[in-house]
Amino acid sequence: MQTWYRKAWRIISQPYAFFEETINCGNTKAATITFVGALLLVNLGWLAVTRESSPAFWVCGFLLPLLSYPAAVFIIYLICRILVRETKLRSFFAVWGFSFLPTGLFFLLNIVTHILITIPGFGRFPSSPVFMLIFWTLIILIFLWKALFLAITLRLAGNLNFRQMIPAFILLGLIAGGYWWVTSGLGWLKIPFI
Amino acid sequence: MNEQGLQRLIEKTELFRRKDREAAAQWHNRIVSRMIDTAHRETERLEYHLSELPLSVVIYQWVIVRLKSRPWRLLLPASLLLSALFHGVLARVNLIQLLVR
Repeated sequence: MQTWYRKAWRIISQPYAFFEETINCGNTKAATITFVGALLLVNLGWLAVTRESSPAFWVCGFLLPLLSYPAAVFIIYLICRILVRETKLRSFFAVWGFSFLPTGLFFLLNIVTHILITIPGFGRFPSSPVFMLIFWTLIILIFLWKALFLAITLRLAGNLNFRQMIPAFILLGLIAGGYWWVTSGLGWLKIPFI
Repeated sequence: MNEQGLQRLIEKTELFRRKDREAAAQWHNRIVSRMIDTAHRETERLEYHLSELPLSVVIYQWVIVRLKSRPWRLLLPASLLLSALFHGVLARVNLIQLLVR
């Protein structure tokens, strides 16, 4: 039995082996806890910064992601199912939740940046090239990390090979882009999140 | 363990039983040198196969191996490089306005 911090470290350091083991176990608990934990952390962090506890905040910040998680898992499963016959929905639920670790970090990074920007005495550092370079490097790193988790999920849970992964990535990218476009158009989300 | 391996083990045990240290050492050296020879042959064989593979396959496999374990070793330099390359485009995104609105 691995402790939670050892598991968290393995997700970061050996994602492929860890995802493989989790799919073989068929345990969906750890991934669900990671997703809910990341969601709570983000919401509480954002709440602490903005102090905006309106019903709209909870609907957009908590209820919408909570409902979109099984929907996202199902869409990924459906795309894999179209490309390959032998896939199990349970395998996706066993691993996709771990990909919210980068998402949670992305929101934390935004919260920290928001705090830095709004501190009156912080000067012009947030708009300096050095800050921008660090910030964008971290954003791209998190984005690539999430893409890596998606690739591992498609490979291990969806049983896709490299050639099949390319159309799956394009389709999922279009769906995610559409989701961002609709939610930002409606004013639910301010930034295209990872 | 196959029959040959078992025979070797019996030989070795016999030597140790007789406390014939010199013979045991010789036996050990012979086995080790045989193992080294095998390893060299395997390496040469693999190197030959590697040189036969297309460069794209070698790069793909290298990337995959890097990403499987401690992926930040590849992702961090890659993101730094991308961020530096697209600095001009990224700087146009008014981050502050996005975050404080």
